[in-house]
Amino acid sequence: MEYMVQIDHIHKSFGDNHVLQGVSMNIKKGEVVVILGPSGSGKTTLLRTINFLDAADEGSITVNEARVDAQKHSKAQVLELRKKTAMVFQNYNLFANMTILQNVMEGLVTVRKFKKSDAEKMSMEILDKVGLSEKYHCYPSQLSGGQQQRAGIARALILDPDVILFDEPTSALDPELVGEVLNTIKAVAQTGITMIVVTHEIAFAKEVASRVVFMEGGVVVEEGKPGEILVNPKEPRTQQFLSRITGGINQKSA
Amino acid sequence: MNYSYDFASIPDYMIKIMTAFPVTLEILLISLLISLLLGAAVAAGSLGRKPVIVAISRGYISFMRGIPTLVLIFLLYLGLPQILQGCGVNISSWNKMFFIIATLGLNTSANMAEMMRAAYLAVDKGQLEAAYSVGMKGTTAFRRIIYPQAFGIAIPMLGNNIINLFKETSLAFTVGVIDILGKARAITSASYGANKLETYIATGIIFWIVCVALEQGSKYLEGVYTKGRKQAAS
Ligand SMILES: Nc1ncnc2c1ncn2[C@@H]1O[C@H](COP(=O)(O)OP(=O)(O)O)[C@@H](O)[C@H]1O
Ligand SMILES: [Mg+2]
Repeated sequence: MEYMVQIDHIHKSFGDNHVLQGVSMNIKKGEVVVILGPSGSGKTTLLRTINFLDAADEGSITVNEARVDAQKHSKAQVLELRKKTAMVFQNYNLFANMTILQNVMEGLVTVRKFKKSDAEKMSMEILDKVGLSEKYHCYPSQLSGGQQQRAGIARALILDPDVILFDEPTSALDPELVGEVLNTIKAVAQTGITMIVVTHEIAFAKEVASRVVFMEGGVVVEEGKPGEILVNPKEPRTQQFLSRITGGINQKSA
Repeated sequence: MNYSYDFASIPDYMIKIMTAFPVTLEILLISLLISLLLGAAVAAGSLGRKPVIVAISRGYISFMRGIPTLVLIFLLYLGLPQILQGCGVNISSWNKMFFIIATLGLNTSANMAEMMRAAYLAVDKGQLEAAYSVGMKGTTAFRRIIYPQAFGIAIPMLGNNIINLFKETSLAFTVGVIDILGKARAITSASYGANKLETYIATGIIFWIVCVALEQGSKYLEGVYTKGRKQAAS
């Protein structure tokens, strides 16, 4: 298989609102794709169609040979696709009735049918990696946003997915907590796992992305290496967006 | 007026009245079970996507909450046999317990349905998405994530509903079932009403004690169940 993720002509509407208007993307194993775009451009919806949290209306998604056609698919195919993907949410979405350790174990035990003791050991190892060794038995409400998000990342990692989807993983955080989460994501990127990250953190994108995609109005406007898109964008819409979020700092440095 | 009150006899009356407690308990437990099962079905219906079923469920809740329990008892006990007689079914020999249990079960099911609906809606549904994203099916996510949280949220309301149901078991005497209150009435009529006051004070105390116990039990359960995760995520 040449590509790890193939997004093929995805269309999605909510009522009259045609949110995704034919989005296609081919992503190789180990690529880190950063998606940028103004609010409402369909970034979240695109991530959600990739693991079928929202079913697309048209098009198909393929992740490591698990293909799901928007118009013709079975529940089993969707479950298979979800097994190959994991998601990190803007609001963490940790299970409030479970400790951090139980949150991470849950997928292994109830979905993958691991033995509890094995799952526990593996989960502890992952939690150690994201710096939460002290917090195994805390409930989400007892943690800071940054700690919760790192637990969310651990919950995604433990399932050994082929691709991890990050939806603005730091935008709900207090500014002083952004760094610790970005560092965790960087460390994950270095393991060679394929990632799709929606974020407005330009410095992070420059450092980590192998490709930057700019979306607006439900289509991909422009994509390329971070050095091209972030420094020398060709499309006026991309230029406007970047100067808006960087406050114009990037404009003359090109 | 030459009644002499003998308050010292109240404990004796309480003991006598308590001999009917198993009947009250039976009414309570069976109608509780019915109300929970029926309530769950109605709550699911009212939260569902089929407009007709939503409307029926809402209508059921509204009707059952609006109608006084006593009226519902009379409807079932006096009205239902008439209708069924018209259809050639004779239910005059049915156990009287049936009517009180059916009434309380139906009536309480509406409160239970409202309780479950509110508790379900109070659980943050982002967690459902997270559950799907780790590969869970809808039923697993409900069982593992949504239900446990909704249950914790519902405990105080559940306690209230059980207390109200317990108090309403005293309506059993209207169909001639000898529950606690029925027993109290039997005691007073055996003495031609001479000890009315003491007997009904004894009855009141019994109801009160059980209600306090239920309330404490519900608080304890809530404390144990939601331990460590009470405050909302920030
Ligand atoms: N569940 C939904 N129901 C209806 N409209 C939605 C839903 N989710 C997203 N939308 C709409 O889709 C558009 C794109 O939203 P979204 O994908 O969240 O954009 P972004 O993440 O880029 O800000 C918005 O107009 C939003 O209102
Ligand atoms: Mg978004």
